[in-house]
Amino acid sequence: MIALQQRTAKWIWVFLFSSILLFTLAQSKVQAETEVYVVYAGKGNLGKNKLMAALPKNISAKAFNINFLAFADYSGKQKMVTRLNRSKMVIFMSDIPMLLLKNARITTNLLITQSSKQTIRSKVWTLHVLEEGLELKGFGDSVQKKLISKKTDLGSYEDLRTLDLLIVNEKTIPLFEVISQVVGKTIRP
Amino acid sequence: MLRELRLLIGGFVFIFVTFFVILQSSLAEEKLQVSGYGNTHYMDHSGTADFVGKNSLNNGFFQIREFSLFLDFTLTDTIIASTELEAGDSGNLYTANYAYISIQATDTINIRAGKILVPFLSYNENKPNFTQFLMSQPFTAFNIAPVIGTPILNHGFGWSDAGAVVDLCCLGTEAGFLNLKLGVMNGLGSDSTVLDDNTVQLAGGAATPTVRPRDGLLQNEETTELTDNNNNKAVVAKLTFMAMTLPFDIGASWYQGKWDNASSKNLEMIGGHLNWLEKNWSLKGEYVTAKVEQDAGFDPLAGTGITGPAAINTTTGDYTMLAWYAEISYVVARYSAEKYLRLIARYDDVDTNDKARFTPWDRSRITGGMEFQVARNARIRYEWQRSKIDDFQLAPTPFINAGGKEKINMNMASLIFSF
Repeated sequence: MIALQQRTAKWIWVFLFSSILLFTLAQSKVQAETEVYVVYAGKGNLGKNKLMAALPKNISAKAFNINFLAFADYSGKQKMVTRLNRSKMVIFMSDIPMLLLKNARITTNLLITQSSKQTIRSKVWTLHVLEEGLELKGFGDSVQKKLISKKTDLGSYEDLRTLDLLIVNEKTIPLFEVISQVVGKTIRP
Repeated sequence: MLRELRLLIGGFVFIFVTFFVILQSSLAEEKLQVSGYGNTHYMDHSGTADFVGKNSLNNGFFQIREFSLFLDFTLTDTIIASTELEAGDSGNLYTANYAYISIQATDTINIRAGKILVPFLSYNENKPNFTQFLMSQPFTAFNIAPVIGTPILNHGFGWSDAGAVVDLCCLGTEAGFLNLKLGVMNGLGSDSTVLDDNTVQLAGGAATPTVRPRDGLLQNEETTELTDNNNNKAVVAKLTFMAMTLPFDIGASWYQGKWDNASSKNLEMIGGHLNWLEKNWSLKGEYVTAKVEQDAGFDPLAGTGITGPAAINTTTGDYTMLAWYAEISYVVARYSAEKYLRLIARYDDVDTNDKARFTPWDRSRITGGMEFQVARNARIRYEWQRSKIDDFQLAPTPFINAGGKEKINMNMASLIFSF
């Protein structure tokens, strides 16, 4: 009787986990590849929501709270970077992702906003998009920058790729609107 | 033995060549992420008892504790194959600390299957020295949760097991987020009628009594991580709360499984952890109890001619062990963004609940440490420890003859790097 119970319990576990695994695999097949990852910190939830709402609707985007790495094991950071690098563009909001992912090797387009830190750079293209008036510490004279006051200031995709820094006049155009335009031009040039 | 050694070396060469080829290919940058860490240290004890057939820990020695590579290969946007290959114990012990497939089912559900890290307390999932401030491990991970082996009986670092874990992340509120990890795995076990059946002999003269190399739970050699000694699967659950606006998390963990071949003896562990990690200071702690069901009166050494005190926790039947630690650290000087000096203090205590006989593992410990980060990925550490054995007045003469003292001092200098 005991043996029967144990065997039954074992197969219940096998059945449960097989079901979960199959369900998961089925789900993962239908999930579209993420084109844009927005990486934010817990405190920046409001800004993240605004940015996600501003992004072009024809682009698949996901947001990731970088503080969730506290729940992960010691390989969590690397797994996060692995996923980020599969996307076409990564957006870091604020200093915190820059600090928590320091040393990360980013091999996709990288857009940094709300932070003038330059501790992480992409091997492909790194663009800072900052509001006018922020202190631009660490940006040298050789930095290619442009002041954006209206949508047309962004120029073509090719023009954009030559830039390192966009300074946004928020009195005339919202920061997130500019980011949305950059994302659109980068992913659907 | 020679054939096994050849197979082992051949296997590792194959793995490294495979990954090297992948690394050099054009797809590698996109699909494979490699990082790692390592450390080496000089360690010197005084006051430890000597064991038969083992080098004395009182002789200072250099050791490469760990050299690990983390390899994550993305199969699809949602599926990652992941492993940690570790050369431990001065490069004489090679293990895959974990090797699993990770599936991001939805934004909030992740499933891992394979050889997984057991999600129990905080230390096991954060054991690399670059994520810790001290090189030595807390008693909660050393004496209860079997994260670390003893220097004289090492099966590798990290508590991992074959099974699956579902990770539910993250239920949010205004105050913070909840994370739940649920796992099922082979579990801890022993082919003996005593759970903690590893023993070593004191080098104490003619009568050389046997003691346990540690008084705690250990993944026994017979019950390897990839097979099971019984029909029962262990279950583990870990619930963690993380504050929204503070670098603070607190959690509770539970493990339960049958450990004997007949699936009749239960092992249950319950614990809690706390981490508060500010930029310039930190507070960490863990508390854990282990309830072990075991028949009373059984002595695995009966009839061998070897005298006590071998029967630790075997004469009393069921027993409960308890361990906890608290650790604080403070950055006293910051020289640049990458260079700083941190001071660390930790207090550990373990109660083996062995009321019948003396055990050198029922003790408390104070640790003082200093960590100097010399560059972004390199640190130098120094640690001083003093352990105090409880009930030392019960220590048998052979233990004292073998060099065992009430207070054990340890000094350790370490070099740590990560990449």
